[in-house]
Amino acid sequence: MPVFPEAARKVIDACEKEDCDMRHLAEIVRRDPALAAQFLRLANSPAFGARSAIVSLPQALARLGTSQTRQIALLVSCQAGVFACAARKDEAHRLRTHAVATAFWAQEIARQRRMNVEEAFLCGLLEDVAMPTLWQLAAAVEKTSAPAAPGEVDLHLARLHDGVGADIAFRWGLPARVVAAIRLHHATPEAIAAAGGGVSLEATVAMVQLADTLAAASVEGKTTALEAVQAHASIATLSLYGSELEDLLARSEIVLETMRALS
Amino acid sequence: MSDVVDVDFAIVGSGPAGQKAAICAAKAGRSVVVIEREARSGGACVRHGTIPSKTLRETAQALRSVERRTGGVIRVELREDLEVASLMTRLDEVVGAHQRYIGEQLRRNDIAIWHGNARFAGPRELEITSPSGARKRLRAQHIVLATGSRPRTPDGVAVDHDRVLDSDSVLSMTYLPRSLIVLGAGVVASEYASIFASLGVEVTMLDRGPRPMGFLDAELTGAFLKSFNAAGSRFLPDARVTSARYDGVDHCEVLLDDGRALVADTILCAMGRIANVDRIGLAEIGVRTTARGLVEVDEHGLTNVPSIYAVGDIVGPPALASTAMEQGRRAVRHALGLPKDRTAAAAIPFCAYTIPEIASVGLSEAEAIAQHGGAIVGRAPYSEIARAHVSACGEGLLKLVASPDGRRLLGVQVVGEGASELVHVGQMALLAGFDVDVFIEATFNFPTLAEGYRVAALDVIRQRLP
Repeated sequence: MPVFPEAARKVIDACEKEDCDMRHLAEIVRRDPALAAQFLRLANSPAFGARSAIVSLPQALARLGTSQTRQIALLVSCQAGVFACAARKDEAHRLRTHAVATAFWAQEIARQRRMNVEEAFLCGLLEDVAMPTLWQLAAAVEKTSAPAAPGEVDLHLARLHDGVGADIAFRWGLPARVVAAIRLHHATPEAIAAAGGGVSLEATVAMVQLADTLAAASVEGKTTALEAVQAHASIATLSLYGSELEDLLARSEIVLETMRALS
Repeated sequence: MSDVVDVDFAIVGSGPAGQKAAICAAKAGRSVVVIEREARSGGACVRHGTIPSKTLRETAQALRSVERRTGGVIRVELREDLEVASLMTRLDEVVGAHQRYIGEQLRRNDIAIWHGNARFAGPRELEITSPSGARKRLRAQHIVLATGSRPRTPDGVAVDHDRVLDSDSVLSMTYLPRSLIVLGAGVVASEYASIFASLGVEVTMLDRGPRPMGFLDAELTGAFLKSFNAAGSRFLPDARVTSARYDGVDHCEVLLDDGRALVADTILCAMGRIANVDRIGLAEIGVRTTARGLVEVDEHGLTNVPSIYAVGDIVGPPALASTAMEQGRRAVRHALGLPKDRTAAAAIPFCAYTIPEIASVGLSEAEAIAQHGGAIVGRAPYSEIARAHVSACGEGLLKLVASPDGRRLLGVQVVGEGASELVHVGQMALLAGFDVDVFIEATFNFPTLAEGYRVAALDVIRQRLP
């Protein structure tokens, strides 16, 4: 069971406090050099509105604000910890990039649909959170077992990852709808309806599914075509129409810019 | 594109107005198709409006009443990190039940529901585009527009649906904020302001008018404000917003035109709603709209194009679910050439689900004086009603508005717990044309809040000239 990233936990806790000040936050971030470097890099990137060079952490954090600071702490810590996998470094890297893109797209869809933006970010970021853990486990098992047929292990892991991911999210104490969305992000509409989470869960899962598709294109540096989005299985549940989808797709450059800043 | 489908009625929108219009037409044996842009029926009323906000309100009300009714023996403290969703755990159940019920009702009456966006292709023809982009056509003898409304975002207010919310996204917030600035003081603004104040949030409501819900009887809104202020919140009158935004660091800021700056964790912008008429193609078929973007209709909901009716929020105030339902039903009855109902439009009740509730039916004191040259008003403060003490209802007031001779009942206004239900006693009396004396002659259960009618009627009689 992976642990919730400690640095992210501290930053998130500090951001939640009424008397949170940027100097205190900067102290916490400074203790984690990787995190500190990322904050400075991001604050200086065009994606976060940099106009002049920022050299100090308090300055960087003030520019990013507590909401973005929370998100970035989670992203960076996830990249370094939860999404790390010595057994499959390249795949873990691709997974991290995809997770970040999915998180940003989920946010944009949530805004369009008047859904919870923070929750959407978490759902997108953590939909495949179990994969590195499962890869690590599989690597350990492979050392002591007879070799499996090509692709067989991955097939099993793919079947397991949504349930295991939901268990991880549950143990981290994440909101119930985030847990349910992770569990159901590959489920059929019938299975989602049968889960009993009502229309809000159906919409949340549809949002993650669409974000996942849009993220796949973003990872390749591409923009998804309107027709492809209209043909997506989740569109009927989300009830997003032509002009709204055009507005959504117009955010592609911002998502790509953010991803470039984070890479 | 498939062939054109012919029906008697096409109803655009499945909110309260659309539902009732569709059912009324189907019950008259007409073929009906309802076009709904969302995956489920119900309109904004179910998704963002009436149902979700009332569910949160019930929780807030219940939490506060536990403390009040137990005389403070049981104190309810909400955790600082309380998730808003946990206060609405019943919401999915409530919304699901409501949507199931609406869907079943429509199906039972053989009403087809098409999922998509409608746009006029002619005065009797619509083109419907599904979310996937597929198109089909519908031709109808009568078209009833019930497309509802969405929140208005004034210039300078940077709604991001994260820290600066509108009335459609306000309930998506994760945690209860410590402080909230509510822009506007209409019904929606006042409802949310009082709900969040009851949950312990420090609320500042502001408006350019002198008091919240300015169209209501000042005595009622005065009682509402007293209770709102007692919860530790405040109302700022004569406040004009020049900008409202999240500062990108840790708080939201509202700037007023007199230079004042207000800060809070979160902002709710509830400065009115705009009619959803911009994507239907009204101009192309010549349907007239007002300068405020509302559809112009007559008393039956008929537009200037004889085959097209408009009902609900798109025709303007009061923009209430109850009124919208009635407008939908009446429009269809008119289209079918059916006679007018006995029920007078003047007896449609109004209710603001604020804490405390405000409800009214018929004429207010000011309207009665304007129309009848005077009025006798009987008052029943909750302090004179036994049930209000038993149930620890807090403050409240029931007003009976009578004709200048104190005989004829003209209106009823209530502020306080149970107002939304209590007002219906007055509504029935108005519909039946009863005199004020009926409340003295009738026997009420004891103890009940309805006894307020007797107390207020006695007050009217006391003021009659000998």
